[in-house]
Amino acid sequence: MKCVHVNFRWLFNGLFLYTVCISSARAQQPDIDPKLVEALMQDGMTKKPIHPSAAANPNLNPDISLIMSTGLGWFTHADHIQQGGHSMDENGLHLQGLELAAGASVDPYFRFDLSFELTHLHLEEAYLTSLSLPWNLQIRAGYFNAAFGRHNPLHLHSWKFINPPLYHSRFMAEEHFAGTGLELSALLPLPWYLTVTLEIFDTTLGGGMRTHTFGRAEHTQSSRLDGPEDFVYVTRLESFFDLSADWSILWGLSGAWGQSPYVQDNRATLYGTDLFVQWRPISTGDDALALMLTIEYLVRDTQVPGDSVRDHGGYLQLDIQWTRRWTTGVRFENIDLLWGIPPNSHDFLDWQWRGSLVAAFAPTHFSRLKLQYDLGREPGMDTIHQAVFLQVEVSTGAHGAHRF
Amino acid sequence: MRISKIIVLLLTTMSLSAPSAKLRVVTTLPDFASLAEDIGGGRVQAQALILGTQNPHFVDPKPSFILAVNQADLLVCIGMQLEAGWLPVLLTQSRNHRVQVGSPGYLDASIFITPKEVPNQADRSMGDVHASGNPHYYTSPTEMFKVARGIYSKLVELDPEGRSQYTSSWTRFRDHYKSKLEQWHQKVAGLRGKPVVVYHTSWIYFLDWAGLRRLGALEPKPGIPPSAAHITRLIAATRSQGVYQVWREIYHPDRLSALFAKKVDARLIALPSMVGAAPDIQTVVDKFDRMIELVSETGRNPS
Repeated sequence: MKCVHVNFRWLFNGLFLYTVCISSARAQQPDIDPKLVEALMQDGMTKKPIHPSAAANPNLNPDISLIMSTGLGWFTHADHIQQGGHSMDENGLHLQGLELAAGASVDPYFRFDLSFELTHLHLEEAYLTSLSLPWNLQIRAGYFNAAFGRHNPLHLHSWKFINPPLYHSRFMAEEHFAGTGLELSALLPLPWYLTVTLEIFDTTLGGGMRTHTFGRAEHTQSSRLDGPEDFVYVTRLESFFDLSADWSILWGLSGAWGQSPYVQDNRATLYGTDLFVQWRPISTGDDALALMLTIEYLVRDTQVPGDSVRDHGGYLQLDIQWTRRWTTGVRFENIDLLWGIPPNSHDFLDWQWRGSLVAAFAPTHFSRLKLQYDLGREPGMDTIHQAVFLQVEVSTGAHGAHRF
Repeated sequence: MRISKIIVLLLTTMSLSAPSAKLRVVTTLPDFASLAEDIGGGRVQAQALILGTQNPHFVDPKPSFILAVNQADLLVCIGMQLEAGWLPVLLTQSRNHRVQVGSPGYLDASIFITPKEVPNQADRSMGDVHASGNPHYYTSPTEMFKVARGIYSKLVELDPEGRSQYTSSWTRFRDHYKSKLEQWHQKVAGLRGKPVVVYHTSWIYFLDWAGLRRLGALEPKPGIPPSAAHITRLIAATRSQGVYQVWREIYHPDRLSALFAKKVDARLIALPSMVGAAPDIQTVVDKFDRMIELVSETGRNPS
């Protein structure tokens, strides 16, 4: 993968200015003068804000946050199931991630977001988002996670479990199915939420694409981008239904097409669907309680020398938020080879399954402890392995906003 | 060929989506939606994203909210970072340039109020403090009046053709609110100086308006759930001070609040901080009527 160079100077300048601004917050304001209310009653319209300083932070620096995930892993077998990117794969202590995130509006037309992984000094995401295109269109451009499925766009600190689903590290990428690309999405003018997203990713070495399914342009006969067939394309249809104030359903369909990494100028495809159902009784004031069901399922077709291989995988996850602080979850997942003779046993695994239990305690919005127990089967092994993980996550700086 | 036809059809449909005749106002707080409807009359269609029974610190940014913000002509938010965890993502994904920060259709209602509890130094070790000050200004009748006037101004700015209708509704609202303010002042006059304990530090604007005193909060720091040790200390510190009432919002846990109220021999009140906190609280005036009725109740907890 291409090493992406980033100039840190502006980031540290921004961090410094941000710190200074925070530490010089305004002094306590005096109580309201009752006469002011009477004066207001007599006046007409408000010509200008009474206290403009009460508005959002007026400085022009990006919102910056630092998020660290660290933990302890223990496995019963040395040759256990490989955990995937950001995960703990050995017994002992691990720094899973240290993310520097920054974001701000560029101007009335664009927003810019950056996420840099400091543990291995690589770019997670850096992209602009349009804010004012007509016809409910939106463009993202830069280096970003593909809008495939529910899990792939999530960063480490948004995971409910300590490790990613099995399918993710097998079909998507070690960390994220991502690359240098262009995205066009549309919010359709319908009574319910429905978006269509189309993405195109560069597959040359310079594009830095991260994928476990598709080949690079170097795999073509000419070893370069010759035409549209050498790019990777991703599409997603996402629909949301508010059944009531308390019940929500999000359903997605995803597809990705590109070069097979095994045969020059042959194809590989990924199809996936995901469902997220949430019950949170906000209408009764019990909004700290929630029940969340997530299901994702994928099928992959890959042309290999003299054959075509189909494998599939997915997971079912149930999370219960008991209180504002406590959440528990259970996840069962499975991947398998359906047909075809794979070119190797590393990229195409026989039947593999794993069950996981997690308990999370979040003292505040900004810190979280997780304890996870895994039980699973590695292909070719008769024994069942077990694993235990303990993780601590902390975040400082700006309060990040996350998608549903 | 077929795909290009579908795309053309799609774009045509999107461009033909007829705008509503009414000014579409989307608000985070239900109180703002109620004010917009009161002042906007038949020219405004208002929708709130938060329910009155919901903790505004913790809101899921549902995609249906993206749809609502996408169609808004005016977005009114609480500001002071209260919606920092969920509103920015809605704004970005809304694809609506009319309501982006800095656009005429974006109204941070906190610009109209006088902030309280602005920290000299904001640090997360102090709990969930907001650098701009305590954002729960919607508990004060006077601050909400200032916000109402700000909404009136904004409606006229965005829809100048409706000026006379807005002014007529505003005058009616203002006069009614003024008479209610006088009533509310009279009702709370006898409460001046009475000590109360709150669950979360949501009530400073109301307390200062009514002249009540906050002895302490069940949360040891803003946003940090009460611990047994803190409650024990708070009981010891306040028991002898004649706690008048213990206040919690409907979405805060009842058990510890009830235990504390029993120990200090005070009445526990679930105060409605937002419109919609109870089915019969449909307007800002309803909300303050109920709040003042509840805080005026004397006596201990019903056994």
